[in-house]
Amino acid sequence: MSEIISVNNLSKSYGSHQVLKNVSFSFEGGQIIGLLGPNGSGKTSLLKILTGLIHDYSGEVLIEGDAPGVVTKAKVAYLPEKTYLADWMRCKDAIEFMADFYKDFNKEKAYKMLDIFQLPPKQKIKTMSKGMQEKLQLLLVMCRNARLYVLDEPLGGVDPAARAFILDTIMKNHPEGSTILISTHLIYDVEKIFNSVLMIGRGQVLVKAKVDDITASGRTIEDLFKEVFANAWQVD
Amino acid sequence: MLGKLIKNEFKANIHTIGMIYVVAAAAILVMMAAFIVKITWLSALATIVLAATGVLAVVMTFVSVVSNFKKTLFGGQGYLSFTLPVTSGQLLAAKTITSFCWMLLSYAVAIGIFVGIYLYATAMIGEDIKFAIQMMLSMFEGMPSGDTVKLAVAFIALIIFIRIVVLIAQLYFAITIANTRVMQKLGGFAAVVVFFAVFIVMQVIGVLLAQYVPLSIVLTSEGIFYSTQSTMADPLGLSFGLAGTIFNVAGAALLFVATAKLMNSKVNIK
Repeated sequence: MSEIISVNNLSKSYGSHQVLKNVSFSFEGGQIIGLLGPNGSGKTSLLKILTGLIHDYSGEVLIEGDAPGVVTKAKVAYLPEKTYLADWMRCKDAIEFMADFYKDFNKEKAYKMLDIFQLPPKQKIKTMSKGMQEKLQLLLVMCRNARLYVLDEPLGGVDPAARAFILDTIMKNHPEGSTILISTHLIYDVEKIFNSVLMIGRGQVLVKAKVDDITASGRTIEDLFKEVFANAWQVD
Repeated sequence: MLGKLIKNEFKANIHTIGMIYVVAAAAILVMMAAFIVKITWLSALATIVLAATGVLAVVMTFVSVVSNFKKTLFGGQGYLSFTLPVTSGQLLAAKTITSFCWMLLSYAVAIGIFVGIYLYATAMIGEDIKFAIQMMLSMFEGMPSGDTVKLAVAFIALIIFIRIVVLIAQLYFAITIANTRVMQKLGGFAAVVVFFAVFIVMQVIGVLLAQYVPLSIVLTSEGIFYSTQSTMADPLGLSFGLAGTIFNVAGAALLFVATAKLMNSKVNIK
């Protein structure tokens, strides 16, 4: 399989604060990748660069051979941490909006999923609970037939039952051959679905490994995470 | 994609701006009903509401243009806008076109409302509306022909269109620069300062160029003329300095390019 993500010597600073320092890694397509690291480790900045939200970085970033831009945005489905839908929209407006802009958006599937998720098509987003808004955003992302799904902390701030629901939705709805990059610091809940993990801390890649290799050594991802970051906090 | 962006921009704006036009329509219906059944106090109340709506249409459109641009690009909705498979230039073009249409509509509606109120008041006090219309049209009496009047109206409309586009360019540039990482700490204050700085500088340069550069269009009783005299040389004629207008068009184009570049590289979505 060819590389879906290729990052070479990527650096990114906010003023004098460097959040990513010469980061390099690549992943082949068709797998579920865990992007792991504590809060403030640079995960969100990395995802924003991959999705084309941040442009002022140095180094090379490629998605299936293209730098983040119009071409990659058409094949990357991004679920940010924040609510990004307009207040005035109803569920059906959000679906029509996505169908307008993404050729790979499956409108029929979206309406079916609205029903499954028990989201009323005519309910305005501003009258929805946070949980309902998150469900809708997840639905919009997973109804795309994308090459790469970038999910930023999809499990943050939700209860264990909702986490299981979210993971189930992701697993059932991503097309075969697509790649999912999930950023999280809640490793226990998701480690069983990962094929590979990328651990970053203090803006550097600390671990890039296949899950099979980690488990073959008798450890879980959580064990490795604790081990890596216990050391990471001790060194500068 | 530009067409789809424009369609969705209109849909987004109608939720904030549309209500004012519904109020205006309701006030007009009440005025007409009050005129027919001759209820003076209701007629007066509806007229006041309609006049207020005329002013509010312009103010609310301006506020909506500003807040929509900020919210959809640099607020939470920016995560959606900037991950759509479109260029920054397309995003900017769609917002400019829709804002232009809404602003133009608000000006037209405001003018229409005040002309309408004038005619309505004329009818209410029992005077001849035809005479009132003739009075209004008498401002064009100096023009020699209907074609000259049409040309003059078209020219003034063009100047208004350019003014609106320049205003949008100044607003968008100020909001965008205020949302760069360097300026973001200052919040909305930075946008206000940048807007007034750009507005005043462009206004002053535009006026100076219009007055002193010998390129102008002059409207006289004989028609419309291109003149190589500056407007200073013809203080009694209705003359428009072309150099000032050309400067404003070029300035607006530069501001749009700068805004698109900033959107591409320097802005920070909250």
